[in-house]
Amino acid sequence: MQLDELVAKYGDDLYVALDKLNIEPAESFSDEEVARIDAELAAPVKEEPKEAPAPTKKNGSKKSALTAQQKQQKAGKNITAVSQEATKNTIAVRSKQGQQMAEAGNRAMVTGYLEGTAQGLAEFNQSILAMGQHLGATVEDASLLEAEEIEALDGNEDFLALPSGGGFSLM
Amino acid sequence: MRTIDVEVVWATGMKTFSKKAARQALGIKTRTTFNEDLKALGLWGKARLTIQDLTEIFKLKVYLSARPGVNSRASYTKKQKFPMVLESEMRLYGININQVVGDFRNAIG
Repeated sequence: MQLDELVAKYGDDLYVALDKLNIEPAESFSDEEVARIDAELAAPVKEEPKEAPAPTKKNGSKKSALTAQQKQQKAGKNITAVSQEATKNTIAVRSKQGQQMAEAGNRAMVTGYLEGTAQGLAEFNQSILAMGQHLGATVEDASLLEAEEIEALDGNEDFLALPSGGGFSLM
Repeated sequence: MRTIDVEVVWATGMKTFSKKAARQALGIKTRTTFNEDLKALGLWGKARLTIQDLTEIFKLKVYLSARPGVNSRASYTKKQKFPMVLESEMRLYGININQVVGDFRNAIG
């Protein structure tokens, strides 16, 4: 098989296979080499088992049953849609964690979130998730916050006192 | 004080370029881009660059422009191990890398 055909067939994966199998590239490859490359690239990639989502609250409130795709879809919706969709049982972060949340972001992000811009939503969501991971908290999706909670955060003095960019560099 | 940019030809006959002259020869407008290219290719810190160095940077430039937003410096450095495959990949994009590199080398002397 010609090299050009293999490149067209496998693209960037071909480099990985050649490196792994220690095959010296040539203008044409023998059937045996092609078979080895085929086998290498056909082998399923082992995925690490995903951790089960932890409950959002210690008192046993319901876990978020959203799929990753649903979360992405939700993150792109405006604040009105989030407010309508969020229920008491699916609130990811409560007021006692407000300070931690405050450290995760800055006013600009909250403003963007409240305005419902796609970028604002995405930045805020990313920041909250990153902060959650940093603190070991069980934040699953910032878009699950209710509008009132976001607004409360916006008015939080500690939050506003943070310099632009927040106290953490988690973005 | 003013810095004067001069071409240096060593006793070996090997022509070398200052970083500024190299950047201009390659048509790279910003120093940031040029420095990133140098770092990616392991040329960072060299006071003067040879034609071979410039050729490598030029190849990287061609590779990056072949699929903007997809091809990256990181992927190029991984593929450098297999120049023949890389050449074939460029053919797939309609680029004859040997020819464009030859033209470039002729242009810079």
